[in-house]
Amino acid sequence: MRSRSEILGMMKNRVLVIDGSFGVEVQRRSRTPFRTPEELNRIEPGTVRSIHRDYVSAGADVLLTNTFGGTAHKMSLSGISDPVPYIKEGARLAREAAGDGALVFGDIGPTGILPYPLGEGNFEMFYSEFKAQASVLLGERVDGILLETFSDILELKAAVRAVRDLSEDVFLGVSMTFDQGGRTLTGTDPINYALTFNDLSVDAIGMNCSLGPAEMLPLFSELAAICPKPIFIEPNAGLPQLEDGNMTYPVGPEEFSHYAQEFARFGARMVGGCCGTGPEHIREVSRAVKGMAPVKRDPHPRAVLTSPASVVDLDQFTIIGERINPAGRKKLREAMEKGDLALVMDEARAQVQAGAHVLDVNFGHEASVDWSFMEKVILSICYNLGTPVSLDIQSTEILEAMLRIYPGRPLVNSSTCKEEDLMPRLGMLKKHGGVLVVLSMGKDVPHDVNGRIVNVRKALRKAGSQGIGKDRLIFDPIVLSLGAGYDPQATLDTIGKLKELKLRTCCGLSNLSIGLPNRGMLNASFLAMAVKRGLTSVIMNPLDETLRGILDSSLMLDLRKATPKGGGSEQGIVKCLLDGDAPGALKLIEDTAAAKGPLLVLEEILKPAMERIGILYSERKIYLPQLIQAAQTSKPCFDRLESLMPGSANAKEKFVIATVKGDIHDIGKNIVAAIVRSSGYEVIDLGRDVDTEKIVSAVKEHAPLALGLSAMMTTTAPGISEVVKALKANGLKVPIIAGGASLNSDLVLKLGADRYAKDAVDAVTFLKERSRG
Amino acid sequence: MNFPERIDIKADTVEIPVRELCSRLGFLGESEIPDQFKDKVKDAAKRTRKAARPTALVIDLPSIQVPDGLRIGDIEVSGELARKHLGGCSEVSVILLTLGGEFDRLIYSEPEDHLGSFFLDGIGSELAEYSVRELDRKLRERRPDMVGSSRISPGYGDLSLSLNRDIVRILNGGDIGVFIVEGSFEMSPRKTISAFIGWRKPQ
Repeated sequence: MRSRSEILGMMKNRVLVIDGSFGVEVQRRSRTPFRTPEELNRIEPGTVRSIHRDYVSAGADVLLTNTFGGTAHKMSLSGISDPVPYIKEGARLAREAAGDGALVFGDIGPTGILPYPLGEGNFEMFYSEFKAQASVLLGERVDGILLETFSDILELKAAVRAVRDLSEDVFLGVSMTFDQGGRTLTGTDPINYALTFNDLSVDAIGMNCSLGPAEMLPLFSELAAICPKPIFIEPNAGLPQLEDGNMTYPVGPEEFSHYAQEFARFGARMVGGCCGTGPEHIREVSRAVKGMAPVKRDPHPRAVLTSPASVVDLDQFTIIGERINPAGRKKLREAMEKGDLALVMDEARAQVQAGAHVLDVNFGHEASVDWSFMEKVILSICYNLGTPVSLDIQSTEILEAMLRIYPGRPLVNSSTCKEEDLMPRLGMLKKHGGVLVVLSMGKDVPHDVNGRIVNVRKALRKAGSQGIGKDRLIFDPIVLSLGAGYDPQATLDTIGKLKELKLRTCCGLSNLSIGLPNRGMLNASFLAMAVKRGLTSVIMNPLDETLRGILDSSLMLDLRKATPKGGGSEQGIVKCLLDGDAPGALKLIEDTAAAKGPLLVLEEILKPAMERIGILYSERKIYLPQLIQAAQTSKPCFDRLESLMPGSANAKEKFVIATVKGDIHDIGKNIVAAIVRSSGYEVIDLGRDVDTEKIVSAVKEHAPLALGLSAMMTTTAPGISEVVKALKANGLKVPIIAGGASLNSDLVLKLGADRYAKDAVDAVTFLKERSRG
Repeated sequence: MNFPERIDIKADTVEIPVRELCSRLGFLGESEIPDQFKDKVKDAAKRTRKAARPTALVIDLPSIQVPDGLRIGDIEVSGELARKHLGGCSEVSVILLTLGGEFDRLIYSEPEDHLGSFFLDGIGSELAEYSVRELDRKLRERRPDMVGSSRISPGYGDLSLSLNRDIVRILNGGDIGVFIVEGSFEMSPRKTISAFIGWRKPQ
């Protein structure tokens, strides 16, 4: 049996090949009628062994045991009451065929039961099914466990927990199956899946079945872009087709291997096959990927909360509805105690309709409420309303129970920074996943901002020691009652400081106004001030229209929400540019220029606005089309400001750009030119398929700050080297930045340029570094 | 005498999965085009389908093993990719598919509209890819008795881009307005794909 770290080490060094389908192969090869493929482990072991051996001969590094449908529930559907001997034999046969070379992973598939409220399943039922199966496989000393073809996040989470409760040392991979729309059966998309399971103690995250390699490519690219853990793939051999009553799969071994290489280029550390693939497919895959060095990815995980079918991005302002809380609400308390779901769900639905992104759930006197009712509330909100939940639960025991059954990545509300309070909750987060609200207080609430920040730093260190980063923490600056003489400035200052530290914040508003008249107005005014200081989420009553109105207005003024046109500031122009509102942007620029002068508007508003948009793009907070649109929209603003300035004030640093000789692809180059221009440089665009001599002449004539060269194809990339040589021969020195589909950093340097630009923002950064101004 | 066959694909019937389009157009991770850009993308898609004329030339040529690789008609093809996919095939379909010059002109019709050009370019790339997939499907349907290889294209792996010159020559690419750019082996119009599919008898 290989250790977890040993297998992860192997995956760092090369792309591992997983075997292909088993179900289709046994149907093809078996001579005996069988009720389920696992039955063959005992009644026709020779066939099972021969399939494994063929996969080993084909070059598979990983054999999956013939135990995919080996849960007690699934086996019972085929009339087999005791699955244990079949699972044991399945593991032994794979081990025998693997010898000392290949790894053996115990294969576990879903039960086929949907969870409540979609079906009759629940976490504990799933957990015991998978624990029983995994226990047998681990007893047979498999090298790893692969949980594959899951279509529901809760069932998969239960399976992960079951395996990890048996062993922390075994390698564990998870894999979900997606439809062509990019969702699992219960609505989870690849981003949600990757981020939810990234929290848990799993070693590799993958996709398998349902789709062919072509259909899986875009989904896999999403996974690759966001998932920090190693990723893997096992596609079907295309979408199944019915021919003469038989199911056939259209993608042959060679074509399949072509895709395998593509997946490896996206960063797959394991590649195998699912339905319709056989040893020949795996032989070709093995040939195709074995020489390939694993590709290093640069994933960008996001801070989110999830339910099975939704993802709430914590980088957008988040409203957490507070109304599922029985404090002072007799009817709701009685409903909770009686287990009446309808009233609680009405409350939940109303808040979601009013704009809540997440629902805080507080059961009041928890000892009076049945745990199974709590589970029903949480699952109904998650599955029926598609809204993530904030678990506002006081008892650590109940909190852990609810975290355990939560179908996704919840918010845990909350913990103080006291060790005895914080550490157990961090432990739960590590085990079950989630994001924690941390109150910036210890035993007492510090009166000033410094004391609160000391607590925050302490919590960050503690969380770090548990492997929990700041993306999984939200800090509460602490709102106390104004009526009790508390100074709200300390809270606002704490929010400001937390923003400086790039930490997310959340506060409960209601404490502020306890015992005071005009509570709604006080809360709303404070919220507006808190938004201005950088608050990122709030626990509030979304049904309070005044509060909602003030919040919307505050977010608009802070340019964190779409607004009607307005704002004579950098932020105002950012909004117009991102919206592509050219008349609005121009009017704003003209009005402000009339008051402040065109030079000031250019230097202090328009250029910083484009800079900020560039940063937003680099941080992946806006899409490429938004960046292009902003650049395009800014052009008339630059033109207008230039027309208002005297010639001397108008002098700009120059950038010459061209697509090299022989290359006719220039859309990328045009975008770079537009974005560089919109950052305040004069761009001399020589066009596409440009002769080297023409580029040299332009450099001679304009003495630019830098030269940009674009080459799309491998055959045109040497054109860069030609330009470099020609410039040298002419005694011209100019920094050169190069980009294009066929290039990378190493190649660009070899060709003699100074820097590789992966996108337009890189080009602007390069120019700024070299700016003479 | 074997002559190139011209095959027209109806642009209107070629389906492009929305997710792939999102990915191509820079909306990574989205399953739908964001509302802000829906109209512009829709308009670009409409204009693309109006201007693009996916047209292919295909010729089936005998393929034989030679010391350095394969000879397909009079084209010498070498390298691992060709050996792996076309080796052992008795015949190879040589393919050239283009969306045509009108679509190229459309991309450049509004030089100040970079976003519009970017969308047109991206949609065109996907339309060309899915058109060639449609052609691929048709070619395989015609040969139920043969096993077709993966479709491979010059410029990928170690299959030299210089083969484009031979493909354009052998198919008389000029008949559908395709020519080789001087100084490289790129093809014009921009949305043009060249490819090989090998055919062998089932074992």
